[in-house]
Amino acid sequence: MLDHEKINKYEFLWISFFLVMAVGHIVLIAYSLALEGPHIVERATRAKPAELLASGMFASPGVTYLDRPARAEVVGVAQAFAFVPSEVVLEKDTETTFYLTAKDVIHGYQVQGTNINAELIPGEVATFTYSFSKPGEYRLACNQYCGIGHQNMLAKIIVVDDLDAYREEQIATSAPASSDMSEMTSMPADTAADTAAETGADATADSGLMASAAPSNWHDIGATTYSNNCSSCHQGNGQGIAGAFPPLAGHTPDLISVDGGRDYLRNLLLYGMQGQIQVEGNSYNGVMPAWAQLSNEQIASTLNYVLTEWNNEADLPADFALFSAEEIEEVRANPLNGIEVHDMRQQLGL
Amino acid sequence: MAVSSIPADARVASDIYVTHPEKKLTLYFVVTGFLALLIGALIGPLQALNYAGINVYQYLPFLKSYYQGLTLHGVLNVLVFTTFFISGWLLYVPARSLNMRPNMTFSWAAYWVMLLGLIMAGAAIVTDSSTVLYTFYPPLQGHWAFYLGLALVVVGSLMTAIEVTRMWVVWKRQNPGKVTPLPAYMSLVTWLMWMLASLGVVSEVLFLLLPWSLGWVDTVDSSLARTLFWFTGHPIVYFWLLPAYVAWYGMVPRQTGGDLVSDPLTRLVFLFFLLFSTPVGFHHQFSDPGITPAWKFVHSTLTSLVAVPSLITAFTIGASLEKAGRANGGRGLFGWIPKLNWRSASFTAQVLAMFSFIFGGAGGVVNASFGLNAVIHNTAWVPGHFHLTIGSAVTLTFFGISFWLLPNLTRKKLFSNGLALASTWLWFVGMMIFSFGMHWQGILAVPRRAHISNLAANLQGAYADAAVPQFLTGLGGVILLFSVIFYFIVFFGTLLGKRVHKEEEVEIPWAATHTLPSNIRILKVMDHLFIWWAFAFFIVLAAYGPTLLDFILHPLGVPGWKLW
Repeated sequence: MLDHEKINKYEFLWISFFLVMAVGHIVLIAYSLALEGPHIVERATRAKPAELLASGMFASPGVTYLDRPARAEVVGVAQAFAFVPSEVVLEKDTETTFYLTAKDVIHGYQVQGTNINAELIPGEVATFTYSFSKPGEYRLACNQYCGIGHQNMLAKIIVVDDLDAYREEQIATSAPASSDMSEMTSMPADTAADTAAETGADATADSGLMASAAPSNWHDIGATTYSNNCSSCHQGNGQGIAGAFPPLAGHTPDLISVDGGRDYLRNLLLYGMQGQIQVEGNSYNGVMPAWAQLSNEQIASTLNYVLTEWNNEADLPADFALFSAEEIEEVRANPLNGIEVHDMRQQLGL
Repeated sequence: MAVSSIPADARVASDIYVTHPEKKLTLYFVVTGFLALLIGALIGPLQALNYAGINVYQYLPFLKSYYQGLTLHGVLNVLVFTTFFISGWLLYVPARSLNMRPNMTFSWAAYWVMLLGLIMAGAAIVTDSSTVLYTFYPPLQGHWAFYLGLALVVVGSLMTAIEVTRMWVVWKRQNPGKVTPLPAYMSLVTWLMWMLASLGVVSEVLFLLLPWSLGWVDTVDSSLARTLFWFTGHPIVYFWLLPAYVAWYGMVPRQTGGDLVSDPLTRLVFLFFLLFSTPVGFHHQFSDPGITPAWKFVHSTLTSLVAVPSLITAFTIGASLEKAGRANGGRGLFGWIPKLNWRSASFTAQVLAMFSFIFGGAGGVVNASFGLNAVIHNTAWVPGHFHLTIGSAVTLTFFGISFWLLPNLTRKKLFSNGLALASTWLWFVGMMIFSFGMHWQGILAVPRRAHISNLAANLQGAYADAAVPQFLTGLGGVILLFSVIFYFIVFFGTLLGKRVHKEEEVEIPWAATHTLPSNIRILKVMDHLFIWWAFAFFIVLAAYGPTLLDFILHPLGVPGWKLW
């Protein structure tokens, strides 16, 4: 029989045991934080997003080495629906301090296989320190719902044994003649990774288009840049997602054909756009991120790519000239915000 | 205000609602809640298939996106189903336990306020104006009707809270020196806890989200909003759990022929929840930059304390069941288990709920562990966890309650105990498999709340290493679909069945309790509930005050976005 004296005794033992466990739990948490605390997310600073992104470290996100190989800094921006930079290359066993912020809504920042898991809140700069001990490719995912493209907000952190060896390998396997190659060590990792992805497939302009000032190899650079940065929204086939992301297939020739269209396209890629637009009978009221952190080569190549791919080439005006890197550089002198770019579009009369 | 006990001549009335008008209102609350669950739960399998890598959303005309469906699923299941059911259940239990009649005008007003809120929020979600999920973090900006609608649902529940408190105050005056009966005590403590807990989200909606969504202000402080949300967001899980505990403590032992082994320990458990449910919200924000590690650690420590009453519950309920099983002939270490009332669908549902809570609670301890949280925060582990706690422990208990409550409220018979049992076992098995799959996916860093079955072309295969747990998640979802169908056949079958004679009416299975005479003084101390509430308030002030003050004194408004 289970009588009350027995029950009282077991009750006392049970509760005592779990009170001890609770205390033990707290002590162990304190101990683990003392040892591994640096990965805990803290606030570096707090300011309006527009201010944070306009100047200082967030104006040019990327990786910087302070003390090769011992210390590095990663400055990153999360926006709907991409991480900037989309690829980070780090050397193993490097104590890396991350400074991260969100441009528009709350995004998550989680690196698979690590303790990196930060909530990026607009206005807040999150910081933490981490050292990767194992080389490999780590998946970075946004793990906080941020809108219709949330599931596509993925990026990579590549950890290598030796950064110099990795970069040499990238140069060796990428196509020649991009004028930005010499600046590879200080550019955001995008550049190195993008050009390295080329496999030497047939590269030069085809079908008699004027290629005088366009980057050589623009097709491959454009395809890779598009795949890494644009396809998660505009899709690999250029069809976009109705109501969320406008199509580029069948549409970009319309943009280049009107007066002012060329100028608009340069500004659009560099500075992004926000505000409602109509494309082929559908209304879009999202946000086109700014891509000023990409190189002039990459932007020019991507524009050329989206203007010619998916049969768009057939609809280009006869006097169409490919974009050159210099043309993109010109526009950097006069930065605009997303609303001003939207005004430019309105004036195209589309 | 005329509140009285039942007049003697009313007992001969044939209409079941004359003597107990609160039965009709309780029925409205409970049925409305379950109708919301019907819609929400039918969307569930679609999401489970998404986490199995199968995208059915492209074929559905009635949902614009996975995220709209997820918003509907979350809001209807954890905000509407729960709040409506609890408003009925925890109005009915204290009224019957104290033998008092609620102010029916005021109580019905609470229902209509909540229904209005449901219609507003529902319309906002269904028109895809507010695909912001049930956590609605700004700067994602929904329609003002969404926020106002949800606020009305909360306000309505607070009206019921006030009414139950008022009934208790009157009862105390009419019964000086007597200790509050246990079921009423548990109900009242739940409401008192909710009145403190709801302050966060009510403030967030009133002062931040409504002015912003109505266009009166241009920006919103998303850090402050998030912090206020989780001020309520953690204790709301106890607002869901404690009504289940009311049934576990107050009825389940009787449903297997036993009684509750300790009254004072039960009250102590509820007081623990009153004190420690709310000052722990930062454990949902370990990854937030705006809160200092020191305060996060304080909340982590307090969370260890709020785990204690559930552990005590495991003992007290376990002991009560074991005592009943042994009295029924059970021998040996586990021989009492088969001797329990497994043939009753109501009993079975609630015990399966308790069993699933073991795993849900264990996962919860992981979530509350400051360092370990970083591994699973915002991954699929989190919905894996809460489908065991709110999804099984609470929902299965509410199923179990409905199997006797609906007959009790309507004077009808349970449609089919066999089908009810089947739905219960399928729910339990389905949820265990689903949750196991999701926990595992979470450890593989698969993010939660993501339409992962619809990745862009260049990202296909990103979660290839989660193939096995994805299969389990999908399988669980399919099993749950059958459980939902069976449950609602029983539900509608019961409601639409024939009335039985008064003598056959299902009575409330109140469990008898035990208190040693030496403990009566402790019961009286625990009865000073307003003082205990004040203690709870001060603990919350200490745990939240400095951080909230910092946010309020240094506001940072950011613009809103509509990104779906």
